[in-house]
Amino acid sequence: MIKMQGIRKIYRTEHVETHALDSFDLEVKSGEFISIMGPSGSGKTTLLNLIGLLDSFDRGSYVLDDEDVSTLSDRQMSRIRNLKIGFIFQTFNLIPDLNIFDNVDVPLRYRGMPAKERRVAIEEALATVGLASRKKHMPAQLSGGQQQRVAVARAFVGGPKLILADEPTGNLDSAMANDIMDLLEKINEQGTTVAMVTHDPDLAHRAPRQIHLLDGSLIDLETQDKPVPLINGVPVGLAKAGC
Amino acid sequence: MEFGPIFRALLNNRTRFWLIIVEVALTLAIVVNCTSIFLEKRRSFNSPTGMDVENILVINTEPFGEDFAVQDFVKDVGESDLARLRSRPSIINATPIHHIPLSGSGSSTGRKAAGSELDTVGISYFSVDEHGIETLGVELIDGRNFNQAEIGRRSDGGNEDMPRNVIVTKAFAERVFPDGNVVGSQISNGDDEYTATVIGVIDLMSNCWPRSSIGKHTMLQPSAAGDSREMNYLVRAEPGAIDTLYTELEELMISLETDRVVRVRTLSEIKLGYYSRTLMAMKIWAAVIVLMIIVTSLGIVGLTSFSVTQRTREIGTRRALGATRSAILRYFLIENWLITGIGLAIGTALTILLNYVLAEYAAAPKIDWILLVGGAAVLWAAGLLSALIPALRAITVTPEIATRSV
Ligand SMILES: Nc1ncnc2c1ncn2[C@@H]1O[C@H](COP(=O)(O)OP(=O)(O)OP(=O)(O)O)[C@@H](O)[C@H]1O
Ligand SMILES: [Mg+2]
Repeated sequence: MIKMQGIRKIYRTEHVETHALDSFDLEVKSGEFISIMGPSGSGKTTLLNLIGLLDSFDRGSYVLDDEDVSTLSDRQMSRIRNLKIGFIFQTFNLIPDLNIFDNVDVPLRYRGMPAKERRVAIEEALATVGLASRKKHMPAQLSGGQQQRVAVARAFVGGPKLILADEPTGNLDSAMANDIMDLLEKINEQGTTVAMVTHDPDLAHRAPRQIHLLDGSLIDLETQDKPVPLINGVPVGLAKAGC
Repeated sequence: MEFGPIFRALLNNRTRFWLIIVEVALTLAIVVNCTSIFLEKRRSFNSPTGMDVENILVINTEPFGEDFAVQDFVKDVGESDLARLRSRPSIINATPIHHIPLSGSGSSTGRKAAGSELDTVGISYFSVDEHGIETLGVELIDGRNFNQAEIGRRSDGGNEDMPRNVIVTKAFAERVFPDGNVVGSQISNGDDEYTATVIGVIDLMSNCWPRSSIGKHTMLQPSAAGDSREMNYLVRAEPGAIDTLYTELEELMISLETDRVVRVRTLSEIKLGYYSRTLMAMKIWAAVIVLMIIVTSLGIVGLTSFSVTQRTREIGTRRALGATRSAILRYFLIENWLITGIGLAIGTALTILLNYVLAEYAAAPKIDWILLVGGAAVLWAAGLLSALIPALRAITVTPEIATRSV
């Protein structure tokens, strides 16, 4: 599903260059569920942005779903995001002026699906996340957990191959977080690849595969021969020099 | 298209847009009404006068010599002035006249069909000789001109001295003789003490007060040169000759008789003076119109910019969910289109209401619907152009904004 090789991402501001990712390799197979952990500033969001074609990188190659996406136009990237990827954000990012139904409708509108098909898909998605009765509600009228469930519905309503979630439970209490995790697992069971960034080790360990980022480099815990001791969630002795 | 959700989003966040809607509505109402008034004033200024205004010079003489106390001397001077003017090359004709058309000052009286029980109709009169019609450039459409025998001394008041034969404009004739048969008919003053015969009808001639309701009720009476110490002459120049004459005539008149002050003006100049307040008002209306449109456009730029800034994360999220740049651009333009549309719909009602009030209390003309449609089109275009600036900023929002922590 995802095959990244030698990826480098540098953020340049006027005076500072930040090497967010350097010589970065990652391979994720179709149908996998991975969790991404790492300390703040280690490049988790950056990685997710690159996987999701939200941002461009400076060097390396990236094949997504058997398609080389290293050099695509903005329009082509928009189209792939729309058709193949679903996003879930820490801050939910529902559109405050649209009701729940219209919010879930947003990605479908951008692919020009006929109204009838959209209606069926949206109602099914809302039923899956248990919010069928709230479709006329505005986001502000829902709790945080409910809003995030709407966002989950919006992410998978179009049947994407890949769902990317950046700290989807970061703003939720643990009961709601578990709800969201249940939903993600349910979606994954139907064959959708899921990549989730989280700071919560309990949630991370529910994913079959966990990867760890440290200063823009990867430690894949599943592929490690022996378990790496963690201090505050950081693998000991693997911090790379440099950068 | 995505009209549905854009419209619903508008309804759900009215506070963000009502200001633009109110602004557009008010602007339409004010701009259309101002334009209507402006056009009305311009129409009044440009309306035909029936005269060859561009080629007419007005000579005013004020004698100070003692000789001018003698009536016969005055008459001699008048006759020789006119003879000299008429014989000068590039002058078509010249006439004595006691009031100046289009000047804002003159004389008027009331006339009716003789014997009629109806009220008299207001009419402004000019005393000219048999050269008057050609000098003014007015068109005689019925009857005849004055002949030399009729050119007498101007009245000093008594009814016996009043002219027996007059020429009137069609506008007046149609008011007083609705059945036609004007030439040969008698007109009289209110108590039928004085009557005169209409010997001719001219098509059109604006009088001293062209803006007034009787501005085209004009009467020519026969009069000779030298009826009074202070004399006015009208001179009609051949096309293209007026500028030269304008500079030469003063000297010519002085050379004929030195003891007087001579002033030469063009009739156009006099007309401009009469309309100066109208022209000033036109400038003010035009400025109001342009300013209103500019202020509204700037308002739309400002409010849309604000809305784009406020919705940066929403734009980023939409981009992440698959919106192309052009979809974002389209979103903001459609949104603006809807907002302006609502504003224009309300504005149309407001325009008609304002026009009704202005018509009632300020005698404003009724608005032409084409003006309303045109005004709406201009504002719609101005609205779209104004929204384009912030909308082009909106498409520079990158999708990774969506994942940024606040
Ligand atoms: N838009 C940006 N401009 C400049 N530097 C950036 C930008 N985004 C991220 N960075 C830098 O890149 C590095 C990785 O940032 P990133 O947001 O990917 O970290 P993260 O692992 O998601 O952290 P957190 O857990 O706090 O969300 C950091 O040093 C950060 O300061
Ligand atoms: Mg992050």
